[in-house]
Amino acid sequence: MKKIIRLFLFILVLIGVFIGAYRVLKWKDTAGDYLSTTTMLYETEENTMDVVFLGSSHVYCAIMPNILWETYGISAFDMATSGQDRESTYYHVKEVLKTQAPKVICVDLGCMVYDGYGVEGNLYRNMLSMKLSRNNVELIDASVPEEERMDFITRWPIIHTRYGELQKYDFITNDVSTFGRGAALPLDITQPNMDMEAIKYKDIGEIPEDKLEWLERMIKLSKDEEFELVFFNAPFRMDINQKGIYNAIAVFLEKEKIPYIDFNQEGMLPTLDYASDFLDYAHTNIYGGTKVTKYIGEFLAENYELEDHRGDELYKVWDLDAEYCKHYIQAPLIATESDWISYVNYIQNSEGMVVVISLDGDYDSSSLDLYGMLVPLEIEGKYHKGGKWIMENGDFITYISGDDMEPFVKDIGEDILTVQNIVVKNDVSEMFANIMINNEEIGVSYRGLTIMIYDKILHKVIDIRCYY
Amino acid sequence: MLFNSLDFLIFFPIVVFVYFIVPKKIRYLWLLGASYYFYMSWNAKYAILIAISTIITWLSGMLIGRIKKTGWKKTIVAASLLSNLGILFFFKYFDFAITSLNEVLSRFDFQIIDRKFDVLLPVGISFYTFQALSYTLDVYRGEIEEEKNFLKYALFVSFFPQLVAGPIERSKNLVSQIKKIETINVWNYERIINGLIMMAWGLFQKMVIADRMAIFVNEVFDHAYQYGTIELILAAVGFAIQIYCDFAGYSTIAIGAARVMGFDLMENFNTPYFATSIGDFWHRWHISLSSWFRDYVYISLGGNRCSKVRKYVNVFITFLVSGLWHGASWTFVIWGALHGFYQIIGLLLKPIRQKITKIFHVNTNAFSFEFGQILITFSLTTFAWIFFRAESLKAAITYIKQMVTHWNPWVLFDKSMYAIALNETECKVLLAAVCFLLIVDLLKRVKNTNLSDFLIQQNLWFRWAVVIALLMSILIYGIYGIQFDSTKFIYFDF
Repeated sequence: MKKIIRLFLFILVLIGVFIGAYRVLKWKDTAGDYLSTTTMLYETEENTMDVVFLGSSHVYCAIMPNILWETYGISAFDMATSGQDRESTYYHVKEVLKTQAPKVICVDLGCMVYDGYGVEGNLYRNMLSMKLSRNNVELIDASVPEEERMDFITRWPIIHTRYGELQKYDFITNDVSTFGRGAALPLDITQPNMDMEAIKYKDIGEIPEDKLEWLERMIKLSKDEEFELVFFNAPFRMDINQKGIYNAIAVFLEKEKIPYIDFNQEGMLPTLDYASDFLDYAHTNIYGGTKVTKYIGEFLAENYELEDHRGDELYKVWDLDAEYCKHYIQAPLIATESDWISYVNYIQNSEGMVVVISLDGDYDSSSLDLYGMLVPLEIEGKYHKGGKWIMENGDFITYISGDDMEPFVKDIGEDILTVQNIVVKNDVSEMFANIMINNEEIGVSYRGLTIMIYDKILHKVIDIRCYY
Repeated sequence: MLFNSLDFLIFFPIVVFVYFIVPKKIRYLWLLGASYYFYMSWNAKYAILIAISTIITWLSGMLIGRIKKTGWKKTIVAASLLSNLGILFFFKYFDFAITSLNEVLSRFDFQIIDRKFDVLLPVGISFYTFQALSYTLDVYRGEIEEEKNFLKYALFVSFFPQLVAGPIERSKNLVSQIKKIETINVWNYERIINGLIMMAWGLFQKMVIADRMAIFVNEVFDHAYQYGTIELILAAVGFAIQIYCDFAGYSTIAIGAARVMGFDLMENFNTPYFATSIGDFWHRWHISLSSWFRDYVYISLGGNRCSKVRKYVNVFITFLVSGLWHGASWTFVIWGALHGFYQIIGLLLKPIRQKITKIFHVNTNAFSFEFGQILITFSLTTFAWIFFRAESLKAAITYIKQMVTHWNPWVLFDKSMYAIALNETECKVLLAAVCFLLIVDLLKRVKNTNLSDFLIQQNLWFRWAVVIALLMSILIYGIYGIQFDSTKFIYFDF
């Protein structure tokens, strides 16, 4: 009996250790800063999503829920994952419906022109982000070769190799407030080589049988689960054969009386500028996404009775997301602002930011009027003594004189800011800016006027610049 | 069905559980069925071969046991040897023989023989053939009585833990245990735990060390021309560790699995890289095979009860045959020949070595002396492993040539080693695992106890900590899963 109890206890300890290891090693979307859209879904209050968008990267680049929230108070969510194929979309709709009761589900049809997963990481992203359930097993059955299914279902054979890439958020859980609404907000611009012939192409092609079956399955699901189904096609480069299929889909959906918005039609979105609104040939950037989202927002507002949830505490995560997006969009504008007065204006209205202004080295010899530049900032202190000025939320909070060697340390959310004057030993006349985040020096050491702006919402330094 | 597969993880507990609860009298039938299922999971057709080998050797045993005349007995032994070795030759060496013959013929402008036998080598054929033959020879020598129960004998030949990669059990040991299978106390807690720890240790050797080391070794051996002295030396040493962990790992799992079921299989590896001479190495490496060759080949050739020259010839022949047993390729023949050569040179130089130690007053009892012997032996065996691992003789020569001509010690310092096949984390995992292996082998060498026996004697917290660490290491650091095309145990092909 004693031996059986001992064996039982051993198995219990072993299981405990295994569960601990599993939690650390389990699949997380490391490419998405540990914030997979599926995790965002699970972390969202039940029955708060009114509109859900599904699809691949086309969706998270083109649809910005923050715009729908700020404009209409629509609680929208991008349940989009990279490479999300048709089966993944179908089962992700079912996954959404487990905790949410959206009035409208908008499905992107980018998945009609590819099959399976070209990138292995996308297969993991689509299969493993979802919690293990019957729905997940059915998705795996539909997507993974038979000999690999058990690895995906048990997960451990795949995730155990993650020991080489463990990071902070493998050990602690990301704060729920940092979870967005699924949009990626890409800022880069590339002019894609669009096939304009395809955009103008009007001939009706043929919908392949498996794709037609999927469309019918989606429509049936919408009827069974009683949600309004909308299909759309985010802008991307396609050829005329693919366009022929989309034209056939449009005809089919018209017959089925399912709304379909095809952004790849001539004249559909006249404001869309191919020179500035694309991240690459397959994705719109934040500027193109804004246009697409506004269009869809108008469509939703006109056709469905969607409640304005702004101000409702239950929907706070949409407020946080909108705030995050505002900072995200503003950050590059601040970093590229060349006009000093406009820059000062940003600093003085820098809600959610910490600013360090540093006057170092032989700033008296500068060809610029550095003292004069400091005046509009309305900060206290003796400019001629140099040193550091620290501001938070646009307000001046402290001044460290140039001859004060005591470090200033401040907890700024997830990070620690340290500001200190440092004398370089081999040349005592040189004073250098020393600004550190989590004990790591940021930027380079300069003389003259250095300005560093840290965004507490984005958890990162969004600008560091120097004037001499 | 590999030991490190999900299939075996399901198969083994089921077999053991049923074996524990079935009536004692049919235990052997259950194990026989399980063993054939295990073997047939590779290729069902090849079960016919093992059945033929079993029938021939069982019948020969029965006949030898009943016939009085020595002449007839000899004929039966010869028939058993010829038929079994004939099957082995046909499946393993036929293509090699034809290819080698064609090479000779083509040199003399004769027409080559265009007759290839293109089939997969039946898994473990060399192991069970030798095991079955040992039975015929032991019955002939009167060392054991013939086994009258055919099915029990069939279990001896096909006992699944050691069926495909040994240890090559002697009939004296295993047949007698199978005979008494009804008397085994299956519910022996200590024995079961001991066996399970052995299996875990074997899996650690295979999955954490051997399969990880294989990634580095394969890259360097496959592209030897790209690398310099240091990488090539490290890969050769790496292969020495890989093949040890692969093979000893398999043997340890086999012994552990058998122990769980109440069977004691013979020890197959005893810290071979702590050997102080090549002779000593062969007393520690693949003990079941080397003792088989000693008992049935070397002694049959006359052993050392003959002239010195004849003894050396016997040694050389035994090692040549041993090399050929490992594979149908000239690289294995050279590997065997090298070991034979090492042995003979060692014996020839023995008086000179003794004289030198006397002249220079070398303290042969000092640790440094023994350590030097271990280093030299390890270097010699590692050098021979290059031939064993190389794809061809030409590749082995290229490897050695590159190793002695491209001196590049800086790669040890510029981190370029991490770019070869294993990144820094993987190298650290491998290094830590090899250090653990060294500790376990030192334990064996110094305290003469294996890991499982040592742990059983320790306090509970320590035992649990080590076993849990071992199991978690296999689960986390083991090479398996989608990203990895599991390298099967190297010795399956022998």
